Amino acid sequence: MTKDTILMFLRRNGALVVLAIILTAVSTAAPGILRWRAINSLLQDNAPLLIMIVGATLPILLGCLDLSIAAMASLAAVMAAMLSPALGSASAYVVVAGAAMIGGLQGWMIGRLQVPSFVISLGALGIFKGIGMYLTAADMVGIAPGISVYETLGSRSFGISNAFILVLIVAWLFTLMLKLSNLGRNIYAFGANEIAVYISGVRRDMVRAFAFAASSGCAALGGVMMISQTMFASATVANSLLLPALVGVVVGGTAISGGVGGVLSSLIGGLIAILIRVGVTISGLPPESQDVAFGITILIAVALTTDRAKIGLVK
Amino acid sequence: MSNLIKSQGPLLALTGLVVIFSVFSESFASMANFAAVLEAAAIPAIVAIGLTYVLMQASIDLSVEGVASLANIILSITVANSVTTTDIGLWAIPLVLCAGLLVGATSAAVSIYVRMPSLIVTLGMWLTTVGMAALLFPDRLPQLLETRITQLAIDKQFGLSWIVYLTLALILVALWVEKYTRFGRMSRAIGENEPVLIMSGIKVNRHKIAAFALAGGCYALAGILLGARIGVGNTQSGVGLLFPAIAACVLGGTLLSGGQGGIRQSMIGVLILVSLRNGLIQIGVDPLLQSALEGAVIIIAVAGSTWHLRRKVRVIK
Amino acid sequence: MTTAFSLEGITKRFGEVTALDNVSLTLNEGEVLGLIGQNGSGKSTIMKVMAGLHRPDTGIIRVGGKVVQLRSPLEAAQAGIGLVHQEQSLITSLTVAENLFLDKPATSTRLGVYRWAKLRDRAKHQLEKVELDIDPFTSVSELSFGQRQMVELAKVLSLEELVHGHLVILFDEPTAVLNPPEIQSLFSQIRRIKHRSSVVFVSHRMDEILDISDRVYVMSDGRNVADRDKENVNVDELYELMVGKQRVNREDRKPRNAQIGAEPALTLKNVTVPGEIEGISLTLAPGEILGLIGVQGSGAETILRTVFGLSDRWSGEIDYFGMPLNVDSPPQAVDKGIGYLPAERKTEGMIRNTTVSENVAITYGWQHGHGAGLISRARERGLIHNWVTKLGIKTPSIGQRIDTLSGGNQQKVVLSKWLFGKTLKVLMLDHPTRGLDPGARSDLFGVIRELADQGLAILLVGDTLDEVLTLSDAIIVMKDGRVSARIEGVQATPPSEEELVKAMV
Ligand SMILES: Nc1ncnc2c1ncn2[C@@H]1O[C@H](COP(=O)(O)OP(=O)(O)OP(=O)(O)O)[C@@H](O)[C@H]1O
Ligand SMILES: [Mg+2]
Repeated sequence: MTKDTILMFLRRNGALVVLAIILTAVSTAAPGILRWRAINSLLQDNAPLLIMIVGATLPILLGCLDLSIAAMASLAAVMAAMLSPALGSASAYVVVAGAAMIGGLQGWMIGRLQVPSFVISLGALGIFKGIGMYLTAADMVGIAPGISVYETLGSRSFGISNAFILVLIVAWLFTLMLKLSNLGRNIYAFGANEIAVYISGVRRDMVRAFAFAASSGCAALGGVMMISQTMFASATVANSLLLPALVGVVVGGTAISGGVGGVLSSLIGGLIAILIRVGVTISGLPPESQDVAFGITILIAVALTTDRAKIGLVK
Repeated sequence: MSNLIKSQGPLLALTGLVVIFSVFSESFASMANFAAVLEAAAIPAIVAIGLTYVLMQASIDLSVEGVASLANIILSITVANSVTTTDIGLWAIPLVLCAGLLVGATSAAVSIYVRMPSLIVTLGMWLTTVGMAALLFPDRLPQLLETRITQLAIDKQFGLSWIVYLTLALILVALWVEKYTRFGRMSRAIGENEPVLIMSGIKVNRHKIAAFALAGGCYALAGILLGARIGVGNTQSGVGLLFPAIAACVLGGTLLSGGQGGIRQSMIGVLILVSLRNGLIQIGVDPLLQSALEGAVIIIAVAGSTWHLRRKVRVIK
Repeated sequence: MTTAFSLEGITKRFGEVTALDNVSLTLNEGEVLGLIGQNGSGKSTIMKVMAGLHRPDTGIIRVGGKVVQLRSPLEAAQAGIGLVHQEQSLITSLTVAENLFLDKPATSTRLGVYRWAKLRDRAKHQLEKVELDIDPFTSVSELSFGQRQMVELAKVLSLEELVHGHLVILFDEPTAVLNPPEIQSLFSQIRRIKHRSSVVFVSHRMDEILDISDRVYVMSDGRNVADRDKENVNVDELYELMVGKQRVNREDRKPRNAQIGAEPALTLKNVTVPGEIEGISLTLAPGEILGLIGVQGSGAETILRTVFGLSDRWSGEIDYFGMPLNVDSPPQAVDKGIGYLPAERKTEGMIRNTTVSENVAITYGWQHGHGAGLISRARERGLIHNWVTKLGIKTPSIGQRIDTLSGGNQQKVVLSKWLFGKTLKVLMLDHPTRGLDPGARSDLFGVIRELADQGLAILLVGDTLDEVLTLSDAIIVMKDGRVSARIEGVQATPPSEEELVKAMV
């Protein structure tokens, strides 16, 4: 192997390499962390974040941004909890499907109203948050006990968290879609040059609607996962997840300008971000300096995982 | 008429809001309430000024809240205060402003030389500055004892505090810079077509660093004024500044894709947003629904004021 | 004669592509050098090296006998070298005056603050040179296409005041987007500045090259293959030097024996786009090539865009094989079997930052897939290779990023996207040969004829009269948004160019 091919490998698989490095570092510092039980509960706790990262990747591949995902996850958690006594397991399905439809509507409106995704999803963020507050009167809502979907999502199969297995399945399906389908090709091309793709006959409104439906649906799924762990929902449960989700996508090497990246890399990016958090926590640093350490380490991770050969102008 | 709608959409939206609120609420159209709107708009306006230059260049800066909080903490521990013994008097102000400039310039430099999108660099910078504010935070909440600073918020001339006058002055300077300096002109050009500028030998990177540094300075100023207003140093003081400021810029027509908008438009955006908040309370909307209505109005206002720009061949993102 | 400028042994590589291979070139004072070569032969690269935009890997550059390093366009400008770009390089949100001095040392600002009055005077003077009567503080976004090109020219000519010595002015395909009167005005400018500058002029049109140049310099595959005085060359010989084969262009003149269908494929009745075209009616039959010509702004392009669903507001009636077309967006048009090759290659044609193969397969790739929306990259690859060979697309591989191809090759890639499917019935070509070299052009002509012979209906907005005359079965002449003449049976009895020009202006 020549130096060039090694460099090439590093550039292509930057995220994996960084993940390996951080995993090694963390496990050397705290050997206990590599125990299966610790990893598993880490994955279980972070499954909602990871599924949001997976979904958030699709709009970003188009060069759009969906800022409403965290608010959507909270609203979905609230709705699912409120509907659970009446609908049982169906409450989860209804909420996720409904969220996907609302997301699709958002994506479609971007094109129809010609308002940037940033603005539409910022507005949607406010709307979801307001509705959630209103429905719950800013209080907690409990979920009806003994509903199978929520119990399954909160438990394990073969020792692995079911929620995390679901994350893997969804990520795998999206990856296949991106690689093998015409829709996937259109998504990448759209991110590279929207106008040329439109003039090539691609239904850009549909592509955008799909991407936003996926991100909203995944966010709602994240909300459902959250209540299956905590059994309680409030209008703000997931609100703090917006930035970690975006961080995960970018650490994975998906370019914010669109056209470059993928769902699996985002998943790896999410894991990197989670591990950095763990590493910083167990590092023995005083709590006040942990945020600084986290911020700087994340920047370094992004610097290492971005394939700069593929992105043109950096803005 | 149709030309007016085209060029002044955001201004019309603002007028519309004011008219609607004045009709539905007695108290909205009063001198005291207008003063309240201006007071509430002042600090967001300062943040939006800094952000506008960055957005015009088609970059983005998310570090607002961290920098403002950090500035607020530095100020509160370096002037006369109830916790620490240091007291450098008004020298604290240039010190804090320089810290803001430095943070901004660092973000830009990292983004340019490590080739990372500004969105992610400033996101990291946000976390970092929040952390630094926490690090510098003394054991107890420091009360500001420097009256020359706290008076800025308390002392009123014609019913408005010095904060408002300072903001107005800053807006004038920013408008002048936008129109008459090479930096101002090039900022918009960078947003429109950076490769051509690079090919023309324009030192694009310098303008970028300058924009981020100025923006950082603006956030730091906002942190100082927040300190003047709340009278204490608080690590959370900047929280809640970012999204309204970005929303305001976008509402005014400063597009995130760069090359368009400007200070004037962003200031109108700030006024729209602040009047909206104020007006919704005045007409007695359920506070729980407040954010939902705000969200809806943002979408409608942007869609309405850019409706005439709709083209089939147009990049939206 | 004294040498004003020279390149000695310049080599420039981009990854695996050698764009310039040991190229030497001398430029005498006061001469116009015509630079020709096929697409991708390295013309733009030479110009960019001369203008300080690319650093050569090896070789030296001399200005007035002295060895210099041109590290940036600014340094080149200070040495008296200016480039008029192949693509437009004006910033539309700035004023004309600002654009004029964008790439010059900042003399109209003091401490970073503009001195508007001084700027206005200096700009006024430059605009007078190119006889452009506009306020220097007009925003470029308000100018027409031709006016912008004149501003580009003024931008370079302002070197005259800035630099005292001799100038070197480079033009990279300046005429591609100009109409005949504008070309004449450009040529008179070139002749005017000759007394104190040397000019390099790139064009794919041989008549222009022979008209304006004193010497002709031929490139092929990154190497110089000929350097002749104008007296010693003729068109056929130049063509042979460039392509290495006999000039097939003559053959193109052979009248086409078109099998034109009886039922029209496309019928426009009274189509109006406010401010652009008015009351356009025309018919196009399968197997027919209908050429549209007119000066810039005559509305020919708008007809194509309206049919393709790109016009925001229009009225009238469009029928498609006897049924109303009802198309409001490109995807709908494509579904019906209509294709459109836009003139704006950079923004509308090619998908930047993606590969050649993704560009070819974007529209019809799924037709060669497994069904159910799944694509087969393996099957596509073979077909893409076919088109790359057939159109002579010069690219290291089909996985190459399209941005790195030369302009002409990019255009061929964009065209092959429409040829890739099985359902195309009407193909609309907007300036398809813009930027194509003569060899590529005649290849393209061959493809267009073949497509028509297979029964495709083709609507063409041509770059030159010659092109439209060569290809079309019928010609529609446009003037100020209306049809000013329709000429049938072009292949049997070609109208004279004079006749067409009279209808155009
Ligand atoms: N930035 C780049 N990266 C990689 N390859 C490049 C780059 N610029 C040019 N090339 C390659 O160098 C060769 C010469 O390109 P150049 O643009 O000089 O051709 P040209 O003669 O101007 O062609 P045209 O007539 O089509 O404009 C081409 O093969 C092109 O693909
Ligand atoms: Mg070229």
